[in-house]
Amino acid sequence: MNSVVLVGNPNTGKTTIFNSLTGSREKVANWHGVTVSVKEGLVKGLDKKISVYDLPGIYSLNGYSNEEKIACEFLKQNKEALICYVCDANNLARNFILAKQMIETGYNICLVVNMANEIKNLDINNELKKFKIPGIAIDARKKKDIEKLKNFIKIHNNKKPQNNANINKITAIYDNLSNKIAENRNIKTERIDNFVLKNGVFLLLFLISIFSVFYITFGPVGTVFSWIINQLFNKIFDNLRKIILCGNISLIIKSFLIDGVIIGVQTIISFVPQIMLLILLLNILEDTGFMSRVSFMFDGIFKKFGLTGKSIFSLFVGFGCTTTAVMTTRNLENKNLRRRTILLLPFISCSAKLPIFLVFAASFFEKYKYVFVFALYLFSCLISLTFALIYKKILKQKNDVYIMEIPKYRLPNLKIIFKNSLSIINEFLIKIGTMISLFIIIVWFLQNFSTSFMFIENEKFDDSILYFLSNKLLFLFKPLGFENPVMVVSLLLGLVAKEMIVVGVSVMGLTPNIFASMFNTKLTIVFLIFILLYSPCISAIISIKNEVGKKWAIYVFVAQFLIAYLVAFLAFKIMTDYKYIFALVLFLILDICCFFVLRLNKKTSCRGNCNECKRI
Amino acid sequence: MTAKIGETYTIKDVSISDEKLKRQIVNLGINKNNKIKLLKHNYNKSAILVEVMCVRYALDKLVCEQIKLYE
Repeated sequence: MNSVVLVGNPNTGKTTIFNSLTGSREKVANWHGVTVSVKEGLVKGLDKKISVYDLPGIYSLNGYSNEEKIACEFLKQNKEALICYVCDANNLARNFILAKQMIETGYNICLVVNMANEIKNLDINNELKKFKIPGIAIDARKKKDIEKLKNFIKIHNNKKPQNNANINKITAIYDNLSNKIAENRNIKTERIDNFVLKNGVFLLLFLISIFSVFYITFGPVGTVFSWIINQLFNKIFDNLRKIILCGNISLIIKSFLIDGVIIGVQTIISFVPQIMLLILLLNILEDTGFMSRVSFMFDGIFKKFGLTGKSIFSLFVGFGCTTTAVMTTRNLENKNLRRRTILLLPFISCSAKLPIFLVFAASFFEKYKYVFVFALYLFSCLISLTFALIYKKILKQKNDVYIMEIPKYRLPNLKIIFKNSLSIINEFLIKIGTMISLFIIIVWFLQNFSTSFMFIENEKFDDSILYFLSNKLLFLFKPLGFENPVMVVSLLLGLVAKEMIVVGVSVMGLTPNIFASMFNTKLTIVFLIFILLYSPCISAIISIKNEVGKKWAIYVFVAQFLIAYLVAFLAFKIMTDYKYIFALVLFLILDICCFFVLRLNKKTSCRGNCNECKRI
Repeated sequence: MTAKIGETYTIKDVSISDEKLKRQIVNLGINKNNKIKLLKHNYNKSAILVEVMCVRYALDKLVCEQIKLYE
């Protein structure tokens, strides 16, 4: 079978071309390093079978990074294949360095100049005719151009390598073309950067964009979108419930299908609209080229906490949903950095905790409920920054040299963004959805069966295994002041999904307000601190397992529980026994003293103007 | 060599003594005859935005130190 290999520098649009040629949904983005392995597909719509391979972006035939080595090894093994060398029309001069290497090495190469539409007043296709090697100028986002490319591949697929090509002549023509393009270069990006990258302007734009994303996702638009989707599915599920209830099947199976399977699927679907909206909006920000600039601008501040500028988006997404935030860390190339970012995400308060905070805040801090909720969020940020410093010390790693290509500003391509988002949601539903369903079924079993494994028909929740377990585990929570098993039940249910803390107590016949009335002000603060910090929900844990492995998923589960327990215990003790306040104040004073002593001893970093540098 | 933001220099005129960084720059297809324009610092000056061969790169402070960057 014939084969075509897409080769080129990073961020030249190889994966976009691959997706258009094969109809695949591989992740594409407006920055380098998105493709990390060789992808294979078949060119669609041709009368003969031609395989296409999408390689990670490379700068030379002697790559250093893992993905570059993979690409170079693949090229060595497939010397006979047709190489479609993909160039970015805006960067022809730099892109040609690798093309020259490949022509000299004897590869069967043809040029595909992508983003040709961005070069005005110049017909690149006409210019390419002057070359000895075949070439085509396209815009990979246009269907018409992809059809042209398919025909081009079909024609040139069986041609022999141009071993006799005069490299000097080609270089001369190429230099001439690059100069012409440089003259017609679009300087839009430079102009925008000159304005946007001013410190104050950028900070303002960043805050506006982040708050817009959150306002749209978790504000009225997201709520209405969720409501429409949920109403649609609720109708389907209500009809299903009616069919099951009318069916001639046993009570256990009815309860399993209604309270287990249907509630499980309904819970997963309730996550989807907001996650979809959030991913869609973040993809738009990525596609415009804004993300790379955020990474550059905030890199210094985040480096102080052992992170980089790229971590900032994952941390912000964490305020919406920890599961999605964990998935967004894929953009971080450095494994250690990725792990550290993921370890911090459970400290960030996700949107599912907000209803719990509001119920309790309304009951106990009516006048200042928003101040109280804001204080909780601030507390979660402070704790996460403290742990960022701790993890920086524990998980030490020599920093790589930071070089990052900053892409041009482009208008987002909604079709590609939508495809990307769908692919992430698809993955979410398959990988995480199945596991959540399993855990929800387990919870159903624990809620609906007694300790003698008999089905509870009369809704006597006190007989259930879950209540029994909670009663047994109560001794663990007594030091925190939790004396009622219902409180423990709600915490156990929160491990499945934080939404279930409020929803779950309703199964026991309690409204959220009655549940809140079991607490006093001090206990409320302890309970909310515990909820704020304790182990994230099962979907987040599974997501962490998928991204960094089982060991770290178990660590997050256990460590978060212990940290929450310790902080809640301290809070409880401080509020009930005032001598602990003095101990805490003393500890903080000592801490501040140590900080200043260490700071005074630390040598201030040189910016190139010290006496030593001047001597050199 | 005293480099300033907004100015353009030839790479061979600025001393980059770090071997790893040198390799990475060569790997990007940038050679010592290319012109490098220093565009902008980020917050707290830990990285710098430069333009080489019409492409923008964010480079860490190591580069700023190697070329002894002053504003």
